[in-house]
Amino acid sequence: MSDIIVASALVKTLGSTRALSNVSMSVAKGEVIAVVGPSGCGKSTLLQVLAGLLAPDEGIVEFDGTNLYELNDNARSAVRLRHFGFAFQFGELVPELTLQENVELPLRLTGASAQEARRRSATMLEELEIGDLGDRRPTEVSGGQGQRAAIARAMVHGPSVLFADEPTGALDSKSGKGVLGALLGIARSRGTSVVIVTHDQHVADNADRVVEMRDGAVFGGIEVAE
Amino acid sequence: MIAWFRNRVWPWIWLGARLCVGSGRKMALRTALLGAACAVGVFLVLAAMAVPIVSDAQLARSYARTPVIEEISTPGMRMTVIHDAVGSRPLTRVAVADVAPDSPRPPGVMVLPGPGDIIVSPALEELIAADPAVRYRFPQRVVGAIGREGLVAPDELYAYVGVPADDLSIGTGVVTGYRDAGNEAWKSSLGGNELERMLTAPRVVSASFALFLGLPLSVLLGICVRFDASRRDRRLAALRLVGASQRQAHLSAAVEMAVIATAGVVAGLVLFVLVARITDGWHVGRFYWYASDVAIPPSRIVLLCALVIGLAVLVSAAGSRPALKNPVRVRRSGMNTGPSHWRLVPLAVAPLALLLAPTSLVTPFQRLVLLGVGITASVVALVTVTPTVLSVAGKSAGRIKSLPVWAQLAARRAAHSPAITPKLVTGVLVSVFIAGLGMLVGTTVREDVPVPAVSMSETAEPAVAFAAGVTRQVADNLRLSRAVVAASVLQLEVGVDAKQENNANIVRTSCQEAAALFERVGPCQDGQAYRVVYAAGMERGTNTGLKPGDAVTIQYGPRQGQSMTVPIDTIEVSGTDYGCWCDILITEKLDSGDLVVRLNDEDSFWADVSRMAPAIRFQGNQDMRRGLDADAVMTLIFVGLTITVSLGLVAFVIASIDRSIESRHKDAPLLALGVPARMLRMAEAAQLLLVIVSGLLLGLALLALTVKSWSGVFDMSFDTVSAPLVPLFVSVFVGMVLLILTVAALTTRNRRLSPEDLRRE
Repeated sequence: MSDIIVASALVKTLGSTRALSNVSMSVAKGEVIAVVGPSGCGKSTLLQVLAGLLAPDEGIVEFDGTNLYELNDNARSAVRLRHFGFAFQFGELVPELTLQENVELPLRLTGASAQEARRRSATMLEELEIGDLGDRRPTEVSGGQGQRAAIARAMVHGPSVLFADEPTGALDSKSGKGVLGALLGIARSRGTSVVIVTHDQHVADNADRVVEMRDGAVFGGIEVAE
Repeated sequence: MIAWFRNRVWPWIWLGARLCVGSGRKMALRTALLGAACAVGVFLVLAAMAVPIVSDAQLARSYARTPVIEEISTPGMRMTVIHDAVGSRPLTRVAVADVAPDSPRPPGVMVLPGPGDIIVSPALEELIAADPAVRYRFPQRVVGAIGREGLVAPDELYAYVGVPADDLSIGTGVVTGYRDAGNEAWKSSLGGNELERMLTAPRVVSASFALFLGLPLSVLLGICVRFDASRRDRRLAALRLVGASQRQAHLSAAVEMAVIATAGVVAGLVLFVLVARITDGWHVGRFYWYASDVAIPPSRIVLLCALVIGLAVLVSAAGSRPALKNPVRVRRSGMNTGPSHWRLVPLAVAPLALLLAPTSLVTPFQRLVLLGVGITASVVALVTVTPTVLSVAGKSAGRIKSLPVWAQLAARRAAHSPAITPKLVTGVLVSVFIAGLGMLVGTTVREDVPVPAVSMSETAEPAVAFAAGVTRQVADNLRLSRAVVAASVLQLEVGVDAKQENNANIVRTSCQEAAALFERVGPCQDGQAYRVVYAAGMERGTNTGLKPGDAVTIQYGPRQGQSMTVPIDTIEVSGTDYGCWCDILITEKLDSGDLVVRLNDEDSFWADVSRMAPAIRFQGNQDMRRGLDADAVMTLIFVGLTITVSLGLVAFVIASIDRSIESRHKDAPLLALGVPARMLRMAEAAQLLLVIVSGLLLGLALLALTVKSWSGVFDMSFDTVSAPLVPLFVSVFVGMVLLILTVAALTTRNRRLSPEDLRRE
């Protein structure tokens, strides 16, 4: 498998804390990577740097051969919009929009027609088993349902890479398993790479590779046995 | 190009438009508040903009009805304009004589009155019908009404009174037409140079009004725009995470803000247009106007609307910038960033400019500029610096380890999350500062522009009235007035000796009529010339240097150039209410001359003058003011202050609602832990108290500095200008403490946890 993201010698300091200390890693196409480690070890920072959200102090991040941080904000945002998907602990849905409109968002913003966006978002919501909740707003559904909507939004435009930061962290065990199953199922079926930050052993067990972090450094890229 | 717009720009515009019709109560509340703030703002600023426009229209009409009088030999219509008063209301009486069919008519007058006829303004007609005292003044037959094009304002008391030709003062010229107010020619009456014409009272008042309104309004807009800011920041952060660039997210936020602001602006505009149409006869103090005068040029309206919408978009963009720049740092409670250093810049500029303004290092013009810069920077500083001050105060208080838990909580919240609390008081602080400035302007106006007496009855003196060029018949008519004690027709001459070193006032009048000039006159016989000797204690007679038998040449008066000898006979007089020290009295009865009247009842006298001698202009009642005189300026300042403080209170209420929402979120986890509501209430009150004390101290310091600078620039006593501000600050402080307690009680009342709170927080 060829690498879709390559990060080399990343250094990032937040205040007086060195969040990333000479971190290098790569993400292959279609690969599911779980980033694990204790709280405050730099997992989320790594995810944000890989996703083009947070510029490193040193080092480079290449997506498909392009250094993300050599691009300006507009170009980097365009990469995120078209090629990346995001799922976070609290979903980060736009509270004023319905679930369906939230899912339509990446499609509408990349120029899809309203009809096309509606059709594809409805399909995606059905796939995540929340097709009947499309007219509700994020505050009107449960945490698990909101998280499924966030995953639908992250995947609806067919991204190359999905970044997920503790997507099941705010859910109970049963809901968490359901959400994770849906996320990984869709990603694998579409060949989408996934970088997922988690504390959940179940999540790590379902990944292709586990990257362990401690004090801002990566300590291993353990292949998970089938 | 079209494809680029459709794919790259349109989706973000669509998103912005969609978000402004977003759902949810808070969103609806924010939309309603912002829309209402924009509407109120546009309405008030348009009202302020209308003041000079209305005033200009009034000045133009006043100019256009002014007769052009020429000293020509051809017979023609003659006019005298006389300013009078009915109680405190100014009254203008235009005496008209020798009217012919082809006589030029003033604007608003269809037919000129003949002797015994009168044409009146609608307000005067109403007053004549309603008030017997006014009816007494105008016994003439009303033959017409003056149209609005001939009147300054609907309340104006104005009359064209037809009189016999002999009643007019001698030497009144012929009316050949009226001034042409076209091409803004009327502006020449405002002053000799461009600066004087620019800085008319209405413009100065309008600019002050804009200051009163503009700054608190900006704060109010800012508070509305940033209402429920944490939710908005979360939304923008979510957009950024989806893949929006900063510019795209800004665009969608700007569209959203512009749509809401435009709706508000249009509402304010429509409201203004509707209200303006029904304001005929409305007034602020003595400033009345016609609704048709409220005609603001469309270009200015468009500019104002663009400014308000632009301001809303700008505040929104500035407030959202941190969230857009660092979307990953946005948490449930929004961005918890400390105040940035740029906020301190205005605080550095303000004292520097205010301290430099009154010094001799700068020119008078630069002084004014520095004062303006200092005041503006002070107001901006109150907005920007308060969060910093609160943060520093919170950090300092937090270091005191012996503080109770609730105080520690208040200090930590103030230090680390100062975002919304300052908003609560910023509106009030800015309003108080502006109110202080208003009082400063008011004090200056009162000091520099003495408020004119509008009614003669308000003044004890003079008990003597004077009119020039009066016939004996008119004088005899007036003598019938019960208010007249004595009346004298006289001629005043000035003589000078051969060496031109000594001069003397010479008065010609009859012995009987001399009683009007002096309190007491010694034995007198008509046809004689007397040297006047004043009673003991009155020294005038000794100072002329003229001795009996000296020859003097008359320098002024009808007998100019003739010689006369200083009489040997003397006459003793006492008192000189007339004010002219008479040295030589020549007793003879004159058919015409100046008229001096001694009065015992001024109000009755002016009524009798109006009735019996409407064409005679007496000195002393010509300083009537109307429209924007000093009183009206004070009224407008008061109205401005009221609106300013109201805006501050509205801002306070909105910020309170916002704060209530935020504290609910912040307190939810603590309540879940079992922290007593009473403790949270105390923490809330402590945090508010911290911000109000630090904010008020800052405001007080800046205002004191402003007063100091102001008094230096305008060369006024510091004590005089600062005295009215002390009660203002004391009352504001007491009021704020009460408000704080109210807010603290309201925001922590019914603090039961909802399932939503527990799930979200």
